[in-house]
Amino acid sequence: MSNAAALITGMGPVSAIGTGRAAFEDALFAGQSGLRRARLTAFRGRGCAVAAEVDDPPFAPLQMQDPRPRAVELALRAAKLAWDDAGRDGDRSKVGVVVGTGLGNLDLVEASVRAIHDGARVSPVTAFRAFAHNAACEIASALDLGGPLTTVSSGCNSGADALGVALDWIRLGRADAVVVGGTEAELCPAFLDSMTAARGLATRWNDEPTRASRPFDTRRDGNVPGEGAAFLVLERDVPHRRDVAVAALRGFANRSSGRRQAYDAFAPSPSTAPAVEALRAALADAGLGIEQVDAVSANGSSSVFYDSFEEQVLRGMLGEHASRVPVHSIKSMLGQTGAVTPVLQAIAACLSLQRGCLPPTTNCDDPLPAFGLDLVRDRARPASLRNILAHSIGFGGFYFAALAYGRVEAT
Amino acid sequence: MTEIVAAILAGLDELQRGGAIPSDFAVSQAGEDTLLASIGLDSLSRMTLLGQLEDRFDTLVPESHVAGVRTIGDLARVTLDSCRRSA
Repeated sequence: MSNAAALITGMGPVSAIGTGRAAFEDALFAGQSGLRRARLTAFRGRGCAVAAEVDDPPFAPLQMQDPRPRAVELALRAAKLAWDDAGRDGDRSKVGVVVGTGLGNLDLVEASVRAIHDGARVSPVTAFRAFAHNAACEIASALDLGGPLTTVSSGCNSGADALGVALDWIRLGRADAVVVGGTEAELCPAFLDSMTAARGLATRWNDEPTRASRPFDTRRDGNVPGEGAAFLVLERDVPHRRDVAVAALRGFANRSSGRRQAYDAFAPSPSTAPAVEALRAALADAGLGIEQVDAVSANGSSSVFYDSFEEQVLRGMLGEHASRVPVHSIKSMLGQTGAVTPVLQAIAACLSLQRGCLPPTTNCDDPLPAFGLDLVRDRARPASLRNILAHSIGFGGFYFAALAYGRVEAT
Repeated sequence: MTEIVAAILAGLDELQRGGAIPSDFAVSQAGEDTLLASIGLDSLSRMTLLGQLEDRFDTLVPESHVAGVRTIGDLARVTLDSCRRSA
């Protein structure tokens, strides 16, 4: 299989800071926060009360006779935006769809259990709508796409792994183009309460929601959960599509941590080696050397443990280049939106490459002790950018993914 | 503080009866200085114990306060600190 790059010709962000490319871009580079008091508070009112919620499409309670899961609605909006943005004409029979989603349609599962418990009947469409593959089917149907179709579920890295699958399909010639992205509707009681019990969510910033997600800051105290979707149109690299492309996806890799124990908040001790290996393998897949990396889009989720861990990973991977390569995290404005984040990182990387500018990491008022990275803090920073490496840490540190994006030279 | 330590010991006793702690550990001999590592709790049991304390004392211990916990006394202190903050 060749290591050819794929063109990114369309982008559809549906996020707490804006829906559609223009709104997202303006907010991202202005450092605008999408975090606010949530409509649902985790853990009996004692836990995290901040979330990244999406206004477009608006939230609507499930109608149980014709239920439309939130993750599917978000995905449809994002995929259509990406498709329109790409302006791709012609044959749709070799256009594929890959959707990444961590929790799938948990909202509908929860509502159905409640309905059954209350003695109600569930709708005949519930099973079809509840399964994680529903979003992919709805997208293929709405856009009339006849190529390969699949769903990837690998927790917070679902969107990253979906991009990896789509890149493989294009390299293997299985599809000429792929509508690929992530969708997540994790603002559900079962998820929020579990994450609170696992000590994963921020609980100390409920009165100052926009300050709750604090990547690499000493006063961070957990993730801020969120919802959203983000899709790209990925295409085979052909000369006449190069002037439409915003950037290229050049390489992908993921790695498992092998055998390890469940995450232990009292004594976490995962090795940095698998994460470093994932980052190096993505660069190798892209045919790039470390000296060609101009910026890193960090996982930076405001997690108490994983931000320190990632600082060591990136320092180890960059080595002597750590002082030269700027690092940023979009989660300071967008929270942790599961499968969606890696695709929002992809969109941020495309926009950064196009503008020659990196978005800010907000809320890092006091970086970790002995912080060895050049973090883009407070405001956007102009930079000469040809390649950006993006990092994703999977749930509990069990697995890691990395993607390399590059500028497209016009023909 | 004494009440919290008593609640921790009661929680350990319950975990031991459920098989989550090796039977050779004597809960009745444990006190504030007992190292959590010496009890043989796995990570899920530690989280369960902390969750029981949070429910009992109606508080939430942030993760940033959990990392330095080594002994039963440390665990009682971070729980007490959280109670004071949420009061």
